[in-house]
Amino acid sequence: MTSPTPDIAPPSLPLDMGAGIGLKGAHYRSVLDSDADGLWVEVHPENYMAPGGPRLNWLEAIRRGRPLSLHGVALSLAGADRPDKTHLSHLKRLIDRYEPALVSEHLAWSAHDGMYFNDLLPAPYTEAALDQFCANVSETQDALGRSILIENPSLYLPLKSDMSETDFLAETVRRTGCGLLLDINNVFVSANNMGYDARAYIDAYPLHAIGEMHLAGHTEDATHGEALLIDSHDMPVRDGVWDLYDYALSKTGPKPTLIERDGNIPPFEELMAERDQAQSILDALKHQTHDTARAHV
Amino acid sequence: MSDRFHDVFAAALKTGDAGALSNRLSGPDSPGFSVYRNNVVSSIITTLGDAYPAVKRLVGDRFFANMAKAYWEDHPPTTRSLTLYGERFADHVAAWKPAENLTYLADIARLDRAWLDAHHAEDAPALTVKSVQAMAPEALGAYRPGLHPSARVITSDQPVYTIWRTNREDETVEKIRLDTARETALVHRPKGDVKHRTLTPVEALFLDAIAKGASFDGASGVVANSFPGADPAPVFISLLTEGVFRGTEK
Repeated sequence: MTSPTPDIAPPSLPLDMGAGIGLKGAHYRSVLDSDADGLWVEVHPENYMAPGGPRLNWLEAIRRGRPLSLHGVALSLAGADRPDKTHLSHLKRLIDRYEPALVSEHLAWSAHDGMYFNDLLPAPYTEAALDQFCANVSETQDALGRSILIENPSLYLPLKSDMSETDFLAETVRRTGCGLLLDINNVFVSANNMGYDARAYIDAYPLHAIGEMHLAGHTEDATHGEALLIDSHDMPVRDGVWDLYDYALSKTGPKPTLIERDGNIPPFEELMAERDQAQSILDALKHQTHDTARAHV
Repeated sequence: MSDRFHDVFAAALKTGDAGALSNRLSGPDSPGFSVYRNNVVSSIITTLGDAYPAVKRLVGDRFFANMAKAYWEDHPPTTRSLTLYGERFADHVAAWKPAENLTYLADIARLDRAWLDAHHAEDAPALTVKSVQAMAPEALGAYRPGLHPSARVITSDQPVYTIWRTNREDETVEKIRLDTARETALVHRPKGDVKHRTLTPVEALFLDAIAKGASFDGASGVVANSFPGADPAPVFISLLTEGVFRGTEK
């Protein structure tokens, strides 16, 4: 299961995926009514795994006018076990119904021995863990019939490892044909907590595989302050994260980018103002790329 | 090796004791483990708080958090979606010692749960007046519709619907006398949003019979036995127009 899977083509992205937002119930109506260019939405598929209900119908209505990303948290791909078959089938059903532009998961685990933890838990980066992770990614992609993006986690514990996270991700891309979701805030948080350089991480990252980026706010731990940053998604994106985003984009060119917000949900206009900031960065970069291309003709 | 790492970490998450993890760490003992443990526990408290808002409002955030955490310790999630997590929370509330004086609390949890179940229930058609009019009288009398999949009936010895409704909907809650009356409530979602109201004893009995698989004539008979002189016809018509019965078409 560790051979490349060339039969799974990377999805071609809708051209209008600029900056998106994590979709919250409080904003369903506003998103549906919005005419913002480039706006797209992302949801956790687990929140839509229900027999029925208004939530599913809202998502369908919004999906008719906007690209959608399904961003999973429960596949537990870095777990000790193979992907849960029931969960995979539920995910496949949502993919068939909503035809998302992007499907993503995490370099993390969230379930073990029949118990679901509902958190993105860390795993050591070892050869054995890499084999298991790649087998799980391949099994998922085979079951879903499409490639997925894998997101780098926020780290809070320094685990004994044999390789760097960027090497682990690069090898996963090579073996499975998956793409990557670069979470800029997670790089910022992990670099701070683990004591490495965030830009050096970006330099070593397999940038060619990026299909999406994430931006989010973080907070300082109540006891340990700046020494321990928490990926809390409950406040606006910090300046240092915007700077790191600029740095990454200078190497990759524009990528679909999502503002993640899961707590202290602001009014729609406030969240959109933050999204618009990402959209203008992407627009400026597109013009720049376009001008450069013309200058070279 | 993988197995052992996950075993050790999962056990530490359950107990909160990270001692066994120390030889897995590359750096000095780090405070980071508590972040994972807090995430796990607080996400459960948030999930249950969102699912049981009236219970939470009645007992307050801190009391609710302790009750929710104890529930998680006894009944950790086994499915990968938490949309319907907390199926046995009402029983947990009923047995939760610190809440034993709040005799209505478990039934409030049952009403919160009924709302959640109705909200996420299958989008099935309800039996319509039109399809009933198309049936021959004998066929209608013998028809066993069952309840619409979203419909839940909650019965209590106390005025729990009144308590629940004001705690779900009102900015300032009503004052309620606990000794007023027993209440039976209907919570359902024929389509669109969840609806709820109290049921009269006759309505409650009629629906209970239908839920148990009785035909319309059978349910009317049950009503006539317990309430001689009661006319089941208007009961049938109001429940029908509210979309409480399961529809005929798929």
